[in-house]
Amino acid sequence: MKRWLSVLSLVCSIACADDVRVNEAGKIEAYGSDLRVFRDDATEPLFGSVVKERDKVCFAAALPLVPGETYRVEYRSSDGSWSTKRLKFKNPATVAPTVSISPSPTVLPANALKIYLHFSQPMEQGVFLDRITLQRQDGSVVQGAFRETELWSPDGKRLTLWLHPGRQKTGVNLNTDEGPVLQEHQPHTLKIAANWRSNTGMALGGETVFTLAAGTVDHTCPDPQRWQFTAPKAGTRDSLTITFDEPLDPAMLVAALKVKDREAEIAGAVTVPPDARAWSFTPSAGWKSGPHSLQIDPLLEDLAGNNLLGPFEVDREAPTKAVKTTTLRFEVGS
Amino acid sequence: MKALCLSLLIVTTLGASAALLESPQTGGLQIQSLSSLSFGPEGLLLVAEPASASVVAIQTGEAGPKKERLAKPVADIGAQIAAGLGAKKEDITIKDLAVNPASGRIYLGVQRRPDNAVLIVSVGAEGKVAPLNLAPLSWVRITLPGGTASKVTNITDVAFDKDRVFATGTCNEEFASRIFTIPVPLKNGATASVFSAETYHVAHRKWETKAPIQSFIPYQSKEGTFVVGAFACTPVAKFRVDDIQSGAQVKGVSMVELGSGNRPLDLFSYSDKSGKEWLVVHTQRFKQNAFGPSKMWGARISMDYLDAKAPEQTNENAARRDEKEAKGPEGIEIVDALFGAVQVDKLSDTEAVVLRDIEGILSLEVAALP
Repeated sequence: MKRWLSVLSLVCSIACADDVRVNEAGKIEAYGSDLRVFRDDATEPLFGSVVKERDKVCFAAALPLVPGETYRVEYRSSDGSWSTKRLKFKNPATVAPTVSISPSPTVLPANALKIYLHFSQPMEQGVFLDRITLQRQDGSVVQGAFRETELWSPDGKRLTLWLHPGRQKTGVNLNTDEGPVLQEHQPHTLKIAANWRSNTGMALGGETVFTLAAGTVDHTCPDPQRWQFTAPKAGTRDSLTITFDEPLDPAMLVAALKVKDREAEIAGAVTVPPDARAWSFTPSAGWKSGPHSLQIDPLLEDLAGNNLLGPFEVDREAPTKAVKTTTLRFEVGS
Repeated sequence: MKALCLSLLIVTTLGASAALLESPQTGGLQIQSLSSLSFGPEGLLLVAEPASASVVAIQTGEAGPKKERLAKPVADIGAQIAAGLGAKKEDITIKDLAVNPASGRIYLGVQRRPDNAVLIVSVGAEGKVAPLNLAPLSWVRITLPGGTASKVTNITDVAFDKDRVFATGTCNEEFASRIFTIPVPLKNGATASVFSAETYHVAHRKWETKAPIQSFIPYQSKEGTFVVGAFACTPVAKFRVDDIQSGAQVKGVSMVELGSGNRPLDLFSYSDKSGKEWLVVHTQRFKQNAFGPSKMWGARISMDYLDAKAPEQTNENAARRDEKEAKGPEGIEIVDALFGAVQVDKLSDTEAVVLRDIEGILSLEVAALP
């Protein structure tokens, strides 16, 4: 119903001809005995249901009517004659969406698996491979750079962009045939096309360009023993800040670390800086003195997909030891 | 009298399928997103809804008889669907196709751009596209459990198997493979079991611990119940799913490698006229196909390969398709009818429904299986 009401608010002045109108429920109604609705000059009508109510007919579209679209309404009057009216829906006066990248600056291991694109508005889906281009320093386009699976956050604003694992993983045939997506120690350019629209139809409006700097490959598991932090003082609400020795997955960081006062998880707010090299936790209430711990999800990954349980690339002939530490203990003193 | 007979038929149908859903809701269902469609028995439609990390089971009430087989190809069906959704042709995506085996009716999950609204439509014998009216239908929704730090946001496939429903998926941030099972009868809020899956990757001779299953079928053999899945790097592997506890890790056994540069999209099995069983793998190639006119293609694999003996015929010793030949080794061959197919599902042991893309125009047709 909310969607209908939002569409209703977009009806422009010419929408409400006397004999055809959009009613309070978001349905198109007309005086007469039958009604068909078409998108602009389409030859097939919209899917929907038609209900006759006394001297009116009411059409409920199977999907919400779209802002910015023109609809052709054909309705049959009581005398049996057909008439046509056009309804034009205004586009809402929204601002153009914007896009940012995470981590930023985007300094990646050469075998990086994923980066995140954050949009200011939910975006149209099903087009990302046509809207994103990766270029090498010489301007050549990296063909097949991304995994085809499209992964959006539930709110439709964050896209997980996978650099193709089949090319980033040593020894996979695509890696052997095509080479890795990123070249070591080289800058790359990620371009987001201007015509990518939000889910309300507003395009980005201009090409957005990000620089991706590739370093060396990383086959090492994140190790919490290498992380640095200073315990906060009791009675304060000072942030507990963990500094990592490498950028970690910025999206996973938000929920991968839990602070506990003995066995009880402490409520608070988490902050991850753009470079994903640190994590801060500000408790909702003051720190209590005594032993505390930081519980780490062993699935937490670095940018190359290595997690605490093992590296992304498992070599059976040269197994890597998994990191054992998933808890860091600290004492909150006065 | 005709109306009375129809009423009796509907009551009988719904009564017979009551065991599949427990305490279902009727009406009020809105599908927020859609990644996969599949049918169980008696017209039970399973919808993978990634936005809510859920599987929605809908009793369509369409339990047969099988008289909805598409009579003739529907040319440019994309235009018909786009018009119905109020969109341009280039602004729709057919997310999945499923055939109701009870009726032969074809169901399509469609997404519209730019608002990402989804709709399930169906196509009957006459080739007319109609939206599925959810209002009178009974349904349940089951949310899949996520990881410790992230939710399931990608459900790659869903399928019914006797006393449970299987689903495969991943979390948004983790490159990991999970198999979910939901007990039947399905009920709102039921708890799904979850298994992490790892398997051997034939191509690079390592345990492929993290590749998500793209598509799968449940498979029964003398050895037990398996999920047979295909991965982005195209090994076909089987995972034994008898007697495993939620949270366990299931180790898959790679049975067949179709060659690099392929992305599996759909799997189904069928028996040919001689009774020989085949697994059909519908696939998208990253590069131009050496043996056909399209990057979209399919192969059939003798189900005998799924009973291969470990270790001498599996994992690093698994059968590998000869990428330089249209056939081979024996029991692995290209299915010509699947060239250009963007969506496929089994109609019967002799036919499949194919949504074919020919230079940007989608056509729907019934194709003979070899």
